[in-house]
Amino acid sequence: MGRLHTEEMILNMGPQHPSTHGVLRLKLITDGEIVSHVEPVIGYLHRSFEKHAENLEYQMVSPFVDRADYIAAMNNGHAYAIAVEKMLGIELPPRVEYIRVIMAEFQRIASHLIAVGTFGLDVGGITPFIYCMRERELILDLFEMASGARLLYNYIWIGGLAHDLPAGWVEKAYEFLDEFDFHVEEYNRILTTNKIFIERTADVGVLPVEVAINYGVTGPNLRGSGIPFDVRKNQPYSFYDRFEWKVPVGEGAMGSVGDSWDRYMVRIEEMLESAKIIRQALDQLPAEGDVKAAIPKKIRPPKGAEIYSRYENPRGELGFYIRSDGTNIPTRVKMRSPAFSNISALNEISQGWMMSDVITILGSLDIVLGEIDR
Amino acid sequence: MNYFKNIYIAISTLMTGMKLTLGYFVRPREYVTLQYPDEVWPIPERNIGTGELASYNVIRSKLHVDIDDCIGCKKCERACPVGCISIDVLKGDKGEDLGVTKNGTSIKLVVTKHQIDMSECMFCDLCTHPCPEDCIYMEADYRFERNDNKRKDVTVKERWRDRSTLIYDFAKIAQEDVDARTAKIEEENRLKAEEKEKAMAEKLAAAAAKQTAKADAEQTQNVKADVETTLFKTTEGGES
Amino acid sequence: MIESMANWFLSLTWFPQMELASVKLLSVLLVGAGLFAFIAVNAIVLVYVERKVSAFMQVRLGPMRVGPYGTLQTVADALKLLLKEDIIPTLADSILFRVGPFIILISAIVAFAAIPFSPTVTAADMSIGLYYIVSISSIVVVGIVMSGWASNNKWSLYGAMRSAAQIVSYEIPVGLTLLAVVAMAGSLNMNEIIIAQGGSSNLFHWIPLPLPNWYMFNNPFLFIAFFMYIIGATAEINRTPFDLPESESELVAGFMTEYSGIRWALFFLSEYANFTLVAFLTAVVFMGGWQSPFETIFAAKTSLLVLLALALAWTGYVKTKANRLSIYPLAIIGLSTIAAWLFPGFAIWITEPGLFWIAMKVLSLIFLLMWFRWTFPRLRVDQLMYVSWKVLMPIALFNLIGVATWMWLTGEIQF
Repeated sequence: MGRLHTEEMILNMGPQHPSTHGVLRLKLITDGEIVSHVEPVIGYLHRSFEKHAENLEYQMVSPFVDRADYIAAMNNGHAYAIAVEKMLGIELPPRVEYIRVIMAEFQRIASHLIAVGTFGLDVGGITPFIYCMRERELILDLFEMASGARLLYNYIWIGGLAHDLPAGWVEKAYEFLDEFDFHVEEYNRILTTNKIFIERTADVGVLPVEVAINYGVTGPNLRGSGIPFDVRKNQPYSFYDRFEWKVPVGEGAMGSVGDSWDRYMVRIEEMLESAKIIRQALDQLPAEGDVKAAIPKKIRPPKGAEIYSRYENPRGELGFYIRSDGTNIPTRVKMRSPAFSNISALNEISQGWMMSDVITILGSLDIVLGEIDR
Repeated sequence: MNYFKNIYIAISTLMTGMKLTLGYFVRPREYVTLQYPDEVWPIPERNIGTGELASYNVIRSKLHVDIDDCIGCKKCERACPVGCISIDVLKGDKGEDLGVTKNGTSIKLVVTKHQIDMSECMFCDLCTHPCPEDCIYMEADYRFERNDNKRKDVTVKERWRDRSTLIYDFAKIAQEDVDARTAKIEEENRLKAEEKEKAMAEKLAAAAAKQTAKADAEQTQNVKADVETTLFKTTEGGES
Repeated sequence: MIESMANWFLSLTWFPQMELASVKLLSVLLVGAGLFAFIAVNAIVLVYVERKVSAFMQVRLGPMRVGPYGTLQTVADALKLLLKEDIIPTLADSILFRVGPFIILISAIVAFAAIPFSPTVTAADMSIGLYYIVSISSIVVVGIVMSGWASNNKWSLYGAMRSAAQIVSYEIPVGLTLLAVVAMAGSLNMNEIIIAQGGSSNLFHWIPLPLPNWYMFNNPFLFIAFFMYIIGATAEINRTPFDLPESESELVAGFMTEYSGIRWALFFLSEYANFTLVAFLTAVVFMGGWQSPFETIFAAKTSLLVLLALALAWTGYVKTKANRLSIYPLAIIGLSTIAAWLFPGFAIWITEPGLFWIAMKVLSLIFLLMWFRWTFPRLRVDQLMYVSWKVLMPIALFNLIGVATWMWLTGEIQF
């Protein structure tokens, strides 16, 4: 009998695969179950946002910004508004800043709930996903009450907010926060501490610090590798320096630092930290105040003004580079998408793992294709 | 020992999860799903404080225009990032009273077309804020679905592509009125254009005569043809 | 059962005079058709139950539209599948592609022949019943590999290969746990295994616990073996947490990726048939089969009353409208209990109590497996093998020795 002939197989995962979180295509080179190379093929959701923004007025860009990362629309709107306001040099009323922080943190919780839930789904547990979606609905209710929309809010505008908070909103927000800790405990019971889940995620897809930094990985993925980098802490924007909270980092509690479980756990802890921030912001929220700063009707940043503004999105550092030529239409809007940098590290960390693990790692990176392709 | 500890941890943590799901299975609890068309999620009351318009304080689902208050300023059309609003206006007659809006502004223009294509709208709410008369706003009516499965005049695919029911036209003005006004304005325009054309033709003819005189005998034919084309083009441009 | 059925046919006056062999053949065909009907109806009911169970565990309502409380949902689904276009991929091996689902289904149905539904209702009361079931149900692998290979799809192939590895590995610990029972019972005949579990427990006879003498409570080793068998069986029927062959988040749909319409329905049917088969086998081998758990404690009628009381207590406990749905099965039990108590002979579980008790046991086991599915995440391939070879296998071997020691200590065997 001659030697058994084996060869590597190219496996095309996606763009219609159930676990690629959208329309991502992965080209896997596999040897049986072991994956030796992963090549993400992106662009299936490309809407040419950046080119589009060059033909729109500054305010008109903001609804399109929402659509980039459609599960963290509030954060994106906030990031864009901050960038343009810095160009214009606008000072905002404190009530606006507090409401913005509250909205951004609620959106962070909602986004992390999806991340946690779909991660459970990738690992095979269906029920945690439904539990996560249940709490997310409550947050969306709050958003709907405030802005009138459930997914793409366009609530945070340049120079303020679309509307003031409605009556009774603050009480409802407190109500949600009171119950939220209990629900996080539920996720811990059904998923975080589950032995099967730990076996599937601990020590899987370890993202070493050097690799993370080389690829520009940010957000919970970088913090999962043990680096306490958070734009909210390191370069505080808005009112983040007024609250007390800590940056959760991966400690390798179940395996080694930077594994999928750590990235997952950072998200769980961040949800609790966000809840803490919201509670403080609600306590400090001025009862009265204008929600719109005095801004010119036509937004015309000075000629030649350019800015790179950093923002901590649920997925990492969201940056906006905007250049003005003095008209009311920007000459260039560049979006530094955190998920794009995060997914680029996929090949590096999933080599040598099994096909199931590639899905776990992809889930733990928490990508949004709308933001990667823009 | 680690081996047995592992097994113990596995069993105990799995039991924890099972306890949770069983708890939800047996415990009386409000289910979060709804039987959609029968029960609907309550639309939150959004009293945002502006207060004048009752229907303004609701969620963003469908654009509505109070056409009586519209002054045809086209600010909403310009604010729309996707261009789903299209407005046509005509000048009113001299001395004609077109009424006043609820804010007291007298209307100067006749809005002949105020069309909103809800299939293109992205519900960004940018058009409602610039409106000086607060006459364009979002309504809470989110049920755009329609049952036209029994329509036989079009094929299924055409029916799916058909979005004409999502295009809302708010202009109330009658077609005859529009036609009459358009005819009037066109007549004025035509008279003006004719005068202009006449002057232009004279000018061109003069130029042509000048050129003909200058040209050689062999090239006379070509030059003539050239002039004719120019003339033809001019008249065509004038008509369009 | 075949014999008695044939004799019954021959005893009928209007029945045409035939040779015994052909009458037997007729009976076999009838029993086969009956089993198939049972499996088909069972699958439809179980799909509905599973959807409801999952819905309640996930704080949802589940199917509610077709029929009252969505009871006809699966019927509608089955009809839809029957009417769907039968797609065979161009590059698929069309013969194997067609044959695969049938092999899986047949192996599932044929295994039911040896299942004792009650002392009299056993299609084939063979002396090697347990061995027959274990061996027949392994044929499923052939069908899965066949359809996975024939689909000419990489995902299907992955699913098939995983399934082959998984089922073959789990055969061993499952076989070893069953062997412990066989050693206790001293027989492979299913009915004899059940009869050996009569009376009250010899383990707990010195503690005042009203436990029946099921093998599961017989001794500590078999108690462990019971749970090991449940785990192994879950893996053999490819259900979560061992649903790797069809893991939808990884392999799209595993070996059934390319199937649609009625062929896919056959996979579904056989999955639920295998599911029920495993539950039946567990009930027979570890839980006393068709024997009443209360016979040693209460009279049969009193035990029904206890059930009724439980059902009523449950109804009182569960108050909200939506949740009342979850007690419907229990309400049915309660009402039929009243009927059975008032009119003996009216209900089948008075004349054939075995059917009722085995159904109860099987349903609770099925619920357990559903409960697993809607709680746990999925294992990875290597972890699956770890569980089989490094956890279940040693413990199964240890258990076998333990059972033998127990039998020696209690004097059931002498050396």
